[in-house]
Amino acid sequence: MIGAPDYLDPVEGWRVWRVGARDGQVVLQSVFVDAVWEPGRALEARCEHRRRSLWRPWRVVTSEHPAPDEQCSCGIYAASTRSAARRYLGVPSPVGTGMRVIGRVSLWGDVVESESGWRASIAYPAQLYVPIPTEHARRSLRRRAVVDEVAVGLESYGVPVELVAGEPGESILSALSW
Amino acid sequence: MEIGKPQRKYTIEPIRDPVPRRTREEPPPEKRPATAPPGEPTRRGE
Repeated sequence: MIGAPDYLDPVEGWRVWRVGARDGQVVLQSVFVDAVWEPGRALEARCEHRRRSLWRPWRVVTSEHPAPDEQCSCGIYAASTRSAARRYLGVPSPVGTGMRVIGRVSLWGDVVESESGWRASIAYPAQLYVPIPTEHARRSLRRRAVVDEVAVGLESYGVPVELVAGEPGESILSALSW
Repeated sequence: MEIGKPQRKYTIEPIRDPVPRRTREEPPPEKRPATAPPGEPTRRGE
């Protein structure tokens, strides 16, 4: 950033994360890219868009612009509404499987505001909601234990973590319709 | 994630860090006894 900033408060949007484990620790991961959100450390975006060189088309070069760029699709994404974000609770991930959580995210740095959300250069979770299974099967009890473990693990981010009733996917919509 | 077409770009420099200062991985620093550095008298002339 060069010069005076335009705003002094981060924008808050909504997004969905995958839940993973690293070194025995529960971590948040992006749904569409292989990025880990480290507890206690803001995530910084970088453009990973690759293109063929105009002069040497056999060469693939990485973009050199800082993320986010208005002409690119890079940056850390967030939707402006809960309803726009929650559909990603059930969208298949190209980079991994696993449980999903939804939450609010703070965005700052360079920010590209779009019609229904933002792309930013820096982000950190602001509040996390973990869906609780509602089945009464024994399998569900085990799953509930996993959910509790995940919720406790996510407290390492230092932000409020809340359990919400409902299954991941569409049925969580009612749980989040406060 | 679909967020529509870009409309404008701006910069945000928060006054307060949005990252919580103390997470579970960063325990509070140990309290040290409030003693003067070794070899330094607490009062002159004593």
